[in-house]
Amino acid sequence: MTNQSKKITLIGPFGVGKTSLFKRFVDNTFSEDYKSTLGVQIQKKVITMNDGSQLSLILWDTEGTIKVSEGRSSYLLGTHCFVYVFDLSRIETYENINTQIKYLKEKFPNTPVKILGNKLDAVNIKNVEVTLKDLQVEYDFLASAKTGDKVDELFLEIAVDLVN
Amino acid sequence: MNDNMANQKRFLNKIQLITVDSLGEIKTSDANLFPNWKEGANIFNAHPFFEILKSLEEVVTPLEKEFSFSCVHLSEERNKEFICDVNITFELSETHIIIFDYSRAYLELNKISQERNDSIIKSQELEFSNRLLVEKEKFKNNFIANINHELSAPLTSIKGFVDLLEKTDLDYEQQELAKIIKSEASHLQIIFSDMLDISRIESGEFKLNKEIFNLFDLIQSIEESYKIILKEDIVDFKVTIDKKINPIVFADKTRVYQIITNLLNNAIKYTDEGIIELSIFKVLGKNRKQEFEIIIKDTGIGIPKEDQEKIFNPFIQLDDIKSGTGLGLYVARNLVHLMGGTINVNSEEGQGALFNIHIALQNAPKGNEGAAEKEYVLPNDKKYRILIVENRQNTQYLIMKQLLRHKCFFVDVVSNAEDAIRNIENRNYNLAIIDIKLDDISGLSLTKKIRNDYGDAAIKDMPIVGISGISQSNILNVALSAGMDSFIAKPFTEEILLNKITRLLSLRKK
Ligand SMILES: Nc1nc2c(ncn2[C@@H]2O[C@H](COP(=O)(O)OP(=O)(O)OP(=O)(O)O)[C@@H](O)[C@H]2O)c(=O)[nH]1
Ligand SMILES: [Mg+2]
Repeated sequence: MTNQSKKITLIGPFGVGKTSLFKRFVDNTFSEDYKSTLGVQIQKKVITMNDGSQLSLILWDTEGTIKVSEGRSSYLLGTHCFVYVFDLSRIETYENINTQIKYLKEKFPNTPVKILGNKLDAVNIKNVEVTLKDLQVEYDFLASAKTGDKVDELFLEIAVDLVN
Repeated sequence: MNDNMANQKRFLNKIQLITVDSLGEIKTSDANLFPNWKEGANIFNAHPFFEILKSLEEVVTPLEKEFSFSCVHLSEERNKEFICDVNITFELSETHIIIFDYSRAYLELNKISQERNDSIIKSQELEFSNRLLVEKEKFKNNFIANINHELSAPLTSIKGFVDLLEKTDLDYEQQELAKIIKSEASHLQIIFSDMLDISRIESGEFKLNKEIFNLFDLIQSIEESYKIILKEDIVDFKVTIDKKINPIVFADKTRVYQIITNLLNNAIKYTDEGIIELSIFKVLGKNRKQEFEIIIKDTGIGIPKEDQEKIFNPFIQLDDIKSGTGLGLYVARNLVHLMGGTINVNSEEGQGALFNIHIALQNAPKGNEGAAEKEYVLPNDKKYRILIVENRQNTQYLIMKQLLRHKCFFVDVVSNAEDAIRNIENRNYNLAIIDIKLDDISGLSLTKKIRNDYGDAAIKDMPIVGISGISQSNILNVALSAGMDSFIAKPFTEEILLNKITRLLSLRKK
């Protein structure tokens, strides 16, 4: 128990691929089937940092809700980093994203939030970038749980941020 | 713990009570749900959920020392998963954990949310792909419109320069070459404008522009120009017009012309000898509409049955030898449909083709009949000042545009009767155009006021033209008896407007 553990909470509307990102990162698997998450499932993944130290990431994959405030607030407690996931192929999951992020930042002013657009494989990036710009969506990653694109990058960046 | 209490009670299976010390070692446990989570084991090895104890220690206060988490998935290593509510209470040296197994209740709930989520996601994804399609179409149509614009300028100058070239001293061969360049340029121009029409039609931006015109005149001008086009051909051209037709109609003249000429061009393309016939009949005459049948018949190569639907598709060509695209028929069919009509083809291979269009065109609105035929002469002696009293901006703008185009008018525009009176009192107008329906008092009352309240002949005898969109049969009489000199029903053409105005102005002069 000498190594540190950090809680990362995945939040965002339903069906955006939170569970898929979580599974891609933890087990390196992906399924086309959609099974909506009920409540929260938690898994641990230990990663080895560059300096040889180990870090336990405790990943909380929560049930999707359109608004953050509709979710169970207890899941958010003690989080070290939030990952807000939206679905690039469904505008409804990001047209009001700024309100959601603002709410989160007000509630947890000291907790960083990473914003990730998922299902990059399913959209034409050129078109989507225009829409994202129109809606003034600021994101940290555009990723795909299906192809694995940028999934490890996300969690490793979080790990590095949290250790420093 | 408040997820649907009633259900929870019914579905509640088991509870496990655990007490741990500050290092996470289990001090007591009844092992009801998870047998391995027992005395001596460490809670942090039991399940990653319990790592939360560490973070909670940072936020716990004597006032807030109890936390509850609902609907948490818990399991021992690889064993069955339970969906539980977990209560955590921090005491001085130990922490109490109560785990409630609500798996059955939660699984029941999950079915409902799964169904709801599934259907919402489906519709949102669909919406997204539709949106992309729409955007793509928009892009394509804009692109076509822009490229057309870019191309039309050089094309126009090519045609202009060939015209000039033809007027120079050319030998026979050079003349023929110039003619070919010109005809190819015209062809290109037609394709571009067809493309533009198609993109507008497909994007729903296409609007019909109705005006009053004489159908006979239109057919006659088509006849004349096609006689010229076919002059050197061995193909005859014959036009038949049903004399029962009332020729003054209210429709999109340019587009009616386009439909007929597109079909004629198609006929010419496929007919090497014989005759092309254009006939137009009145099928039905109603109060406000006439239904026409327009027939374009040729003695060309004909169209096999299986291709007859295809010919209306863009870029389909039956005979590869013929040049040009198949846009004309596609445009014609779309235009006919836009006007609420139908178009059909009857043909057999080698037997020529017969296209037949059924289309209903509106008669000219009452009050304007015959007006389309009359000529007007613009005054050239001086400039006339005209007052427009109209509350609708579109109409204001339209009339202004129609009048100001001719350099013989000054125009003032007001939106209501009050401003109209102020203007009339301050300035001499040669004529006023007054909408019958105004916001303050009606155009009729305004007219009566002008006629009755003033001694000054320049005001009380000022010519007044009433305009209105009201389609009431006696509106003309109402307008005239209120003291208006003339009346025009909306919508009207520039021709009609100028016709009425110039007539009143010239009467006044005498
Ligand atoms: N094409 C594509 N599909 C994905 C991707 N990620 C997830 N999906 C699909 O999206 C659906 C929803 O994925 P989940 O991971 O269950 O979504 P979620 O955010 O966990 O949903 P909730 O648990 O209901 O909040 C599934 O059918 C996945 O197969 C991706 O990157 N690309
Ligand atoms: Mg999920």
